[in-house]
Amino acid sequence: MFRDLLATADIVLENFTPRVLRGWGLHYEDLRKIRPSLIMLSNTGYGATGPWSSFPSQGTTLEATMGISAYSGYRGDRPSKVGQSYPDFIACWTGLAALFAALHALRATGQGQWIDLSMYQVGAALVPEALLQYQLDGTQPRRIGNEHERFVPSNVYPARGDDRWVALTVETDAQWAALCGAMGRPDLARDFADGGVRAAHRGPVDAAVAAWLREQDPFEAMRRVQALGIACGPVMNSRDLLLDPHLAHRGFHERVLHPQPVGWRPMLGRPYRWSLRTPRVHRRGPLYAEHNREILRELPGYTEARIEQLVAARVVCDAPNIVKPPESMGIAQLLALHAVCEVDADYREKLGIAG
Amino acid sequence: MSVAGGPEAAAGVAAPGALAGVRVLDLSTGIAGPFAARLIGDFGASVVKAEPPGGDPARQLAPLAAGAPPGEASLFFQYLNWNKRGIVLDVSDPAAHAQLRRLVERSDILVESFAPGQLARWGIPATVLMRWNPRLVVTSVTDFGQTGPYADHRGSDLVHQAMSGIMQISGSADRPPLKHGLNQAGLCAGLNAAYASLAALHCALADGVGEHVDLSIHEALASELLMCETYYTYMGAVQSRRLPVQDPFAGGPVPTRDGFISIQSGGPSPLEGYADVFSNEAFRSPRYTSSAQRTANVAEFRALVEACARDRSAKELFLEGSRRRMLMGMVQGAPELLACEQLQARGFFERIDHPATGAHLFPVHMARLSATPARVRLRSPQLGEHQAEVAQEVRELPPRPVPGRTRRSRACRWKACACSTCRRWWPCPTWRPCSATSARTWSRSSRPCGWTRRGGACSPPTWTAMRERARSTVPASTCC
Repeated sequence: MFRDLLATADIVLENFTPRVLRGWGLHYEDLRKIRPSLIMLSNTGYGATGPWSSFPSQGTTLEATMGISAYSGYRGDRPSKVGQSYPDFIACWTGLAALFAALHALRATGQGQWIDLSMYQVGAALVPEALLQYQLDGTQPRRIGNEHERFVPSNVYPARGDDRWVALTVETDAQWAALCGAMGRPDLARDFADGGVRAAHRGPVDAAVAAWLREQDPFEAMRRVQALGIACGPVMNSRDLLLDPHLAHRGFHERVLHPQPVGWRPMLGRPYRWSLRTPRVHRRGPLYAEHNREILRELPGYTEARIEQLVAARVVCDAPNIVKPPESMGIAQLLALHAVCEVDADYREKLGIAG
Repeated sequence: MSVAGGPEAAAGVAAPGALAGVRVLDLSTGIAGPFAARLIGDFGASVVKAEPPGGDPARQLAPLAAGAPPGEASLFFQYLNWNKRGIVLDVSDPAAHAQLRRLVERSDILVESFAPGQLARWGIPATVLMRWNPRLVVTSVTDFGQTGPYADHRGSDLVHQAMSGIMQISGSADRPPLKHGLNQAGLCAGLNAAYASLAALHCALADGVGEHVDLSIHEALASELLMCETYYTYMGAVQSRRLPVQDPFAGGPVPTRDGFISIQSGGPSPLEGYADVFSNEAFRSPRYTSSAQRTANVAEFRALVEACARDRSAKELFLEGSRRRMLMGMVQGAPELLACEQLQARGFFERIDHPATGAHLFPVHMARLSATPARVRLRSPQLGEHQAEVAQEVRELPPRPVPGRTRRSRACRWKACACSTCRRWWPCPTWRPCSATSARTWSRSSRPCGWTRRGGACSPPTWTAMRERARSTVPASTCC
């Protein structure tokens, strides 16, 4: 049935451990015989070949192995994971670029190909500064929290509100002078006029900026500091992003309709607008087995009787074979673990999806 | 020139790139735009990097090779700009616009990163560039996009990470929010800009109409909030930084003799396997293998793991555990990556030489394409290095095809779409532009272009039709 489905497919995406498809005779070398124009993308932790190709991997373990954790962390502290599933996103974007390149080649030659995407390699390619610095002089960038090796001040500072922070980066001496003007601190403009001097006195510089920002609303601070031509913005949480006026203007979140009782939910779309065409979410994610019959009916030779036979033989499943109880935690447990920190009872009203 | 070390090079055959024949004009500076243009070049496109007279400011980015001439010392610049030829073009000067137009007319993709409104102030907004070349894809990479309340805001790697939501959920609850190290914002935006440009090119080549891709670095990072966001959209719950996690099987770094390992529960093999990895039968106890019991005994368990790992080598533990199909990682930095046997076997690094700095190992191969592998064909250019070569090429190369927009002489073979809603001009099904002479001369092609005529209207080719066409006769010429 997979081979029959293949006749209708331009692209196959999979992320099995490399030996699995080989064992089933469904590796690219097998499939290209049926369909020479096929583009197949295999996403694995370490790649389809090499001594580590069968090693299990997952976002957090990969983030350490690929190099990014070594350069992320509080000053003087351990290597740190940052974000959620970072390796998956960078692999997704790299894979998309490779897919469109392969589609272009297909258009020119009529031939498909196999894309062997290694998440490890994608990640290791995003720490070039460290790889090159090490070759130059045997040193590596240190973990310095949110600071910058050269630009001072560049940090996050507590602002008004519970767990609210503002980030700013001063890149030039002129920007520092402007910031000192806003802070009403001509003495700092004088004493730390030069970037090199500021870099040697991070403590007092950061302390002065922190004192100025402490009682300011983070978004107000952003506007005041941006008006000086300095990069500045609040540390935003997911609620901030969903309600942000700039992202609303950009149409970053799209409304997608799900079956009741879920209904409309905002979902993040894509980080670009096109002027003439509109890439968008035009179909929500499918429910389990939602389109079994609809898809099979499109295949030649798949009559209703044949489809029902496949369902009866559990080649095609309308319900999962193995039912694992979901391990989701309720809100109370999430709050106790500090996995979430606040809950808005009126979130539907805030998001405009109430009723 | 590059001295490649990968298996593709060892094969001895320089396979054409996937994007052979595609031309990119890179007006961008910094990290994101140039990285996107380089990635497109890695797939085989011909990229011209047009820098302002002072050079791309990224020429000053660390790490800098000692003793190299100023402006040519940055190895990071080399990483972002290989596979490009370099010219100097001051697009702020109207006198340069004639040459810019000639370049634009001969390009398929243009990447730029000027502040929103800047190109318009110079009289060359994207709409004008697309009038010069209606099939052009213009990709604008900016901090917050071309329009909106933050469009005139300035970004930095830190500010982007802060405003993306990533920092809110990173680090420890008892400490400040934490950013990713080095320069992830620009590189992530570059990955997005590369694929979005190629997607738009795909459309442009299908129907002859270009596109303006308006990409925001801020939104590229905010896209990483995919899972975190659902806590709010489905439960109204805001995520923040965790309390320091005690369970050593939650992936946090566990110190070893010479580094750190990362252990995650939920792998393919049962956790009892750690008894063999650590040579300690205590790991078979349900006190530690059951998630609930482990939580209850977490301090004791952590002490056990740390005691077992303290005198072992991180890599030895990683290899031992991974071979037993335990889910493990190890913290690696530059020295470990450069010496990694897996990366060697994959041909990941290439030694790239440069007259100003000598040769260094660069991370090159991110994805491996079986038929059209990525290659580093050119090292990064010195400022203005290919001025004469590109100028000559522009004199010799015909422009990209331009569909006619008004009634023309019998030589024009483009027709208005006969459907009542589409007011655009489409290439006629039976005629194709002849690239051997000029864009204004058309010839009857012996090979149908894949357009279909149905009910008096021209319809663009479907994927099926494109495939049939590609299979049927000779490969498409590369200059149309």
